Amino acid sequence: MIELNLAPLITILSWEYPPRVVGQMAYEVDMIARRISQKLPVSVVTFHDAPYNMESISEKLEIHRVPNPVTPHATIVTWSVSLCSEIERIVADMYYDRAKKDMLIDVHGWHFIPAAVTLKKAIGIRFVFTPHSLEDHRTGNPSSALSSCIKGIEWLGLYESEFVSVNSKWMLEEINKIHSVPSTKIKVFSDTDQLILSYQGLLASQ
Amino acid sequence: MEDMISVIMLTWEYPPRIIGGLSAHVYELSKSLAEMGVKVHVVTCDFPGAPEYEEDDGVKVHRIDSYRYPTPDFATWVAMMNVNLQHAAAEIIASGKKFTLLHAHDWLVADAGIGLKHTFRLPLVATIHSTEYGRRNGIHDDYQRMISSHESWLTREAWRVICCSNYMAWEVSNILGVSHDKIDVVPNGINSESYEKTPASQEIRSRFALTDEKLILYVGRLVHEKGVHLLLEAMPLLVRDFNAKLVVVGEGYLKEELINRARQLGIENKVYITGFLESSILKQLFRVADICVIPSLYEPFGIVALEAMVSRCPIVTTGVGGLGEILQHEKTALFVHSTPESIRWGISQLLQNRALADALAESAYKRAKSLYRWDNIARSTLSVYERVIKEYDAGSWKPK
Repeated sequence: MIELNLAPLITILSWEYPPRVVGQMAYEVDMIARRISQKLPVSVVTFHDAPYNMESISEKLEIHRVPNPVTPHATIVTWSVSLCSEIERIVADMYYDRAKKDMLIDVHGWHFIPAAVTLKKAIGIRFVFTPHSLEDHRTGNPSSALSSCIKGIEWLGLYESEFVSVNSKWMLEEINKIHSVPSTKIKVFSDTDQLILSYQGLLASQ
Repeated sequence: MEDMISVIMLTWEYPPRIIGGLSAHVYELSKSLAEMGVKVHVVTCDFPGAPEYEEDDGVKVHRIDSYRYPTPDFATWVAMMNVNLQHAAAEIIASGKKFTLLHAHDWLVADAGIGLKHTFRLPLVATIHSTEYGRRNGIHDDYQRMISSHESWLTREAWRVICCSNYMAWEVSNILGVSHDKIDVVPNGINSESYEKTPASQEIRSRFALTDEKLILYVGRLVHEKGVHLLLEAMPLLVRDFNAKLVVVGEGYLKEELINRARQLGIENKVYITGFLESSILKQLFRVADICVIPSLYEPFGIVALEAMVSRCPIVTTGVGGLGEILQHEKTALFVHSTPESIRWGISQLLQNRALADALAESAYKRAKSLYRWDNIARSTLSVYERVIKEYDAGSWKPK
């Protein structure tokens, strides 16, 4: 486990991380986590379908793989919400183990937004939301009840987060257009150093 | 210690939102705990016309917007209700008030309760009112498996598990794999005063049965596990010997089937299926009924038995599950088998022998008054809380 004396901890929440690869997001999160961990300690909390384990990739990068405590599930939303309680457990344990020292969450994709919001409301860990795509882009029927529900969770993340992190101006405009999020809240990062500076700015203001 | 305990009660139903017996249970328990000095905050679902926040008999009630997100089905609605419930409860707990524990009622609030437990590191007590296995007579599909999995998870995460009867403790232990050491049996209670104050109104009786008809009462959901279909099948034999009317109070998926079956049996004029009735009317019905029949095939507790007992209404019952603990054969009720013939026999015995019926009803009344008072139930629940807090305080999991 990362030494806890110490530097602020960036906790990345992502429903996919290698070797669990669903889409492109797994690779992107892996790349970002490795780059950030050159400068700040990073814990990635992700899902896998096996008992919990923690793997230390380097001195400043560890991966927590968490199973869903409930199985099977009715929909992707029920899957996500039950898993969120387990994600909350893992992150809260880090928080208490670190004697409540500085932590910041970057939640990638919509699946773990409910957990990020609870952690913020309960113990004050602020979070950044990094959407890699939007439900409107993925679904063939954005007005269906399930897609509307997922869009509601996206909206929750967009409004409860400190800022929204994207990697293109196009994505900024899409979020602005679909969810009416003010453009000033959305930051386009072309490299990880800029992202780290923004993390540090947030941590310094806590 | 009592005045220091402050509990967050998580429940998906609380009056005026009434789905089943859970609503009344949480209401009476919360009220009685508050009277004993426990600070109780109930976090629950919204209901049309009910305020977002109110103080109700000393209980602080917070109602969340449970329909904030569109959802495609009940399971997804439950999940999103938990998200909203958890966020609302997190704000309440984080607002500076000191809370000592969380109390979750049934799987429907498991996601919220477990997440709150870990984020605040507060001990969690869970009451399991029934199990999916018991309700469905087994686990037959993935939907039921998901609910049962939630129940297992909640009982794993709970510091202590409360069940309403020894039967339920056995079921929770055997089906969900919870150690007996972790389970406390605390029965449901009854507010007998409100039943005793209710007059035996012949005017009310005349709305449901003719003056010369014996009134046989069934109260409960119209679902298979309650055995109401067996009672209906007993009626053709019964009405050959007695001038009797069966009054069925409740709603459920069997309603249409029961109405059609009564017609097929040629007893539609001897069966009155009322649907839901207001609480005040129902209490009067218990007071004027000649017999209350509880023909359940599965019953974790059987709160309808307590209602009949405090109304001095003689009971015929299958005595399954918790009913066999509340009632005793030939002392406080007449027990029968789960067949129409046996049910008919039990009803006939009491209709023929009014002295026996009155004696059973009087014994049942005294038993309910002595054992199932809400202040006793709250005191037992408080003992569970005190034990949990003591262990929590002595352990290393509590945040420094």
